[in-house]
Amino acid sequence: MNEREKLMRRIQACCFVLTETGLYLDAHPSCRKALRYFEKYSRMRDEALRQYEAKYGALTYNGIHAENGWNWVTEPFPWEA
Amino acid sequence: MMDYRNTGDPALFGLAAESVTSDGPVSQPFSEGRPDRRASGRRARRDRRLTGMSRPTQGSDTPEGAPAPIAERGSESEDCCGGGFLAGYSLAMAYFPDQSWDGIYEDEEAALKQGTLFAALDFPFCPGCRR
Repeated sequence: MNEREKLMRRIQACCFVLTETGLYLDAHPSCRKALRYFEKYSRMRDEALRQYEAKYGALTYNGIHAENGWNWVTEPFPWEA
Repeated sequence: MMDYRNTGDPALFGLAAESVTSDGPVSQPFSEGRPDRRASGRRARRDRRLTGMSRPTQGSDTPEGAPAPIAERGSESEDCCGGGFLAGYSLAMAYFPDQSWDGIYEDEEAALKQGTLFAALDFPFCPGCRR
């Protein structure tokens, strides 16, 4: 697994944990432990996403910096990597 | 005449083997002679009282007071909103325990691989296997 794949895997795992924790919080919205867990993984996801997009380009529209041009269609799509 | 010995239900078999007198239930062997319709009706009513539910019966000659076959009871409720196939059975109460924040897979990669963050919900699909 190369560096790009590792970062992508990390993003996927963090997003999965956020989804699972979010579903739990839907039923337990005041659970402090779950809230802290969500915050922790939200930061981890953001950091992994920042690292990935800095090296390999945007994963979604949200990661596009339009001042540099519209490279969403000029570079490989995330699923083509 | 309904013969409870043919239902395959040990509970009903046991109940059918008794009759009620003014002194209380008395065990009796099955009679091989002419069936007593009044006795079978009493047994059926007592079965429903003891089990809290009507049981489907086999055969078309349902004794007086015994539960009607499922097909007949289901057809009675076809044009209303309740009943259906299990019309006549007692309602059940469903419950589930409240999930707690414990047994969390701390390794997010492992959680993704298992398909859940919660060990308590980790039931791998394994056809033919028992956990």
